Amino acid sequence: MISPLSSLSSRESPPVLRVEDLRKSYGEIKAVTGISFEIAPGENYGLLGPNGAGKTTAIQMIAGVLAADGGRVTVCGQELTTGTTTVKSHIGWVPQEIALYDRLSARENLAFFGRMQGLSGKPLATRVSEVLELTGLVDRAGDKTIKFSGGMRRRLNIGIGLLHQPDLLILDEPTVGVDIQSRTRILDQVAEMTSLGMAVLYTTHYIEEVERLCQRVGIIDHGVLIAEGTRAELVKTVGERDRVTIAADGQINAGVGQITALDGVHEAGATTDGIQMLVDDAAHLLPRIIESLTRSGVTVTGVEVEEPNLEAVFLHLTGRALRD
Amino acid sequence: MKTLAIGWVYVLRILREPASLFFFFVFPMLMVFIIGIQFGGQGGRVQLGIAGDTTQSITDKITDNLAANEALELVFYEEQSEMLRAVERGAIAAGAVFPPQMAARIAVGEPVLIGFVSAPTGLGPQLQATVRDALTEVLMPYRAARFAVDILGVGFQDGWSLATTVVPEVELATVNLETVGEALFPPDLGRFDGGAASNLVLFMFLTALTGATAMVTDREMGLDTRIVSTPTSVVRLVSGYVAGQFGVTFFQGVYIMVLSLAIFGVDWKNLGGSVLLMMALSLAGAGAGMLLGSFRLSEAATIGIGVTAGLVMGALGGTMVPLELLPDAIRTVARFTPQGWAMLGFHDLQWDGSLIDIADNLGVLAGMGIVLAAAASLSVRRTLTRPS
Repeated sequence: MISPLSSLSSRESPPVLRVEDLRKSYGEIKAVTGISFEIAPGENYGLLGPNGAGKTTAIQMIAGVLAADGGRVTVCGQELTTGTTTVKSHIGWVPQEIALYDRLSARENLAFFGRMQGLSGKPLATRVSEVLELTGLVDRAGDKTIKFSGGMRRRLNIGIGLLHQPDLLILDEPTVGVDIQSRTRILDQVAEMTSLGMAVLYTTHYIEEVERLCQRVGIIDHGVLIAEGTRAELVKTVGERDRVTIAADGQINAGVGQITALDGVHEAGATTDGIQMLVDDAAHLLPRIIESLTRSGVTVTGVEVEEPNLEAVFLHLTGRALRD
Repeated sequence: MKTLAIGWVYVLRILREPASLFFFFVFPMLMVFIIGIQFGGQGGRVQLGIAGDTTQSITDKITDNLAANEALELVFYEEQSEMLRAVERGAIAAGAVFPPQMAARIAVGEPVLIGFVSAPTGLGPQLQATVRDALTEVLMPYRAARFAVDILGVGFQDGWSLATTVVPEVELATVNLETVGEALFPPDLGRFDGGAASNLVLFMFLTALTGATAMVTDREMGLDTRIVSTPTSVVRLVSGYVAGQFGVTFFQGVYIMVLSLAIFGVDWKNLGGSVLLMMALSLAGAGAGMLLGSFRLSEAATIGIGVTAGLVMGALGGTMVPLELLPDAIRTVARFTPQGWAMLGFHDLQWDGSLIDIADNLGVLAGMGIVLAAAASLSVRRTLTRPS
């Protein structure tokens, strides 16, 4: 286990969210065991873990809807508990289940939750219109949500969390059960929120989403935060290397000999249609590799870089695949 | 504002649910009508059919005599068969059939047979005595005249003159009626009046209890948790639910009251008092419903418990059988039910009670509502934020 708070010591802005030693048990089952992390303004933090890892329990405590057994959650400098209300205006929580009123229209749902956030009058009407625009539901604003597709409901579910322009947006598995088109749209929305300065806590068990969206990632398993850092930091922690496959012809063996001598290149070897190797940092070394191969009389026709991903990190840390 | 917003959304959802509209608005009126038909009439007028030759002066006298009885309402039929059908299907309690030339036949000593038909049960057979009394009074001079004809050997006209001269001078024995104790029902209680009040109380509370399913649905959909994730406290959330359920229950009560007044002519006696009682009952019902909804039961279990509790408490509270007819032990138990306090309040109003007379009923019902709502709030806080 790492010490996550130390990784933020160089950050300049005070964190939007600070979680310290958060704990929750259900009887004998320890759902969350002492997790700690911080999120800075404009940062997208991914909480990655398999189903049942404790992500939702942690998220619900952080959103102030579930009482923690111990630990502390601070949002924008204010401590959050289930009993406090004012600090919750800094948070936009998007639950995993779609929490909408079926018999109300999209506009009515947004207006209702806007009122719950303390909005009213013209600011409320303006925000409702903006969120309808953002979620692409303007044309269906007057329709009852019971008539919506799963993707539309999911988008509206997220839109409700954005109504009051919170400092911290908490998204709990927002893309579960949606089609690819809606998923892409949701991920674009989240990226846009981050670019606007909103801090995002994003939980998922989809590695590709975390890799696409999140600046930092916390890996949670059995209620424990087992690793945390940027993607590169995490990969480095477990010593993974990039796999580079080069399609080439010409003096292949000579080329292999040349690149083996380069620092950072490992296990280089000829294949039926080119060369394959493991590289410490492909993005950095690739120009030198291609230059060496060219000098050796190798004609490069294609390059494929396979970076180590978080799946490999999870496998390394837990001994099992993320979706087992 | 948040409380009202939660309450308004609660009402909107129910108004937009087609199935609930039948239960809230159609079913209670059907019950008022059916129970009014079945059990109404303790204070209403009993209908007696009249058919045959009603153009004679003697039948005029008999029907005038019957019409003088305030408990009777005479219904005249052109055809005897039509009246028989009315008796058969229960539209009227009984019927009398007058033959033609009754006076002439009595004058010559010919027997006259007056028909009387009734259903085998109900008030019909008892009406035979009422009709016989009316006939006796009208036929008394005819009988005296016939007696004179038979004894003195005079003609009928002479006998009639003698009889009509003597009979009014005869001092008749009269029965002096004196009542003791309290009547079960006010003398002017209409056919639907009692049934309407009972159904009002029964259905309002049933509606309030089954409204707990809205809370269950919200919990299953994560809506209550989502509301609590905003700057909205659990107390405000439950207050909103109570406000919404109060609105729905009270609206149903007003609906039953207005329609029963317009369609069935129910006399609520004291409209202001009745409305206040409905408001207090709505509050107690909403509190009870929300407490039930806070127990984390399934929707089916919530409906089952809600309906069962509503019916049992309704029975104990006197909404099915008037409290006045129940044993003392049950009447004591009724004091622990909102329905009992509401029924006692409506009872007071039906006996021309004032707002002061029902002040204790209003206070107890409102107190029950506040205590139950507070308990619901604590229960929701526990189950929502500290699930086991």
